Amino acid sequence: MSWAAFSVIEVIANPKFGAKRIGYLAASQSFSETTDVIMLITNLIRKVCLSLLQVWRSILTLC
Amino acid sequence: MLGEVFICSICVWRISPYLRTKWQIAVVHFSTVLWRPWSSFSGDRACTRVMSSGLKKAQQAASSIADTIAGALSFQKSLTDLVRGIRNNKGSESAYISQCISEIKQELRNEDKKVKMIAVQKLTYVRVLLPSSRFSPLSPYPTYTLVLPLPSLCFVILLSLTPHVILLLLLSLTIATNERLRHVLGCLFRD
Repeated sequence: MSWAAFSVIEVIANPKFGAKRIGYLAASQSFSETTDVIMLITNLIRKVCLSLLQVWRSILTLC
Repeated sequence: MLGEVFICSICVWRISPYLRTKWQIAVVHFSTVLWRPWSSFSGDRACTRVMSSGLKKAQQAASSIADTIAGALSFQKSLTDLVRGIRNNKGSESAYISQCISEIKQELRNEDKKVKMIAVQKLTYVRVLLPSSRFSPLSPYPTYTLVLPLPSLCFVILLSLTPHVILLLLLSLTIATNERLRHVLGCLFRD
């Protein structure tokens, strides 16, 4: 699944939370220490964590 | 008018990998025919503009339209379809899964976000089935076992008893399970 790593990141960059969740699951299943594009995800997660509204919305979605 | 027909044909040509049967192709043809009179008021001028700006731009527009149509009408297999297909093709799962993966590879190149999302979801499911995955049925790692409600039931019964009885029960349990302790106690009582 290493050939689809960038597509996974594109799915994570989707503003919808449902897409993000699918992307995170795919990343946790397929990424390893040798994946090159893993640095892009840290930035995306930082952006999500900085926007509190998004976090609350996602928590509400999970509840 | 000619430009419209051209764009419609490119649309149908772009969608055709997503279509499975002939009647679906017929439905798309019919819908493009229905769509034509509505757009003919402003369509001719727009089409001539698209034609003049070049073949590549027209193809791009047609492909984006085709992507959105394919995403909206969901000619794409969903995760449920994939699971059902694997169950239906019992015995020839590997051929079916490799065919699905080649479809997924095409869908990942798609511009539409929803199509890409579902493709990644299907790919994750296929990835999890691999023996190298932790959650696989063929996994070499220890997998999670089914937890029965029996221990929690025992705990509730234990809590309802008095502390002395609990201590006695625990002591007897430890003696019963620990062989060395049982041996020592047996020696003590024999003497």
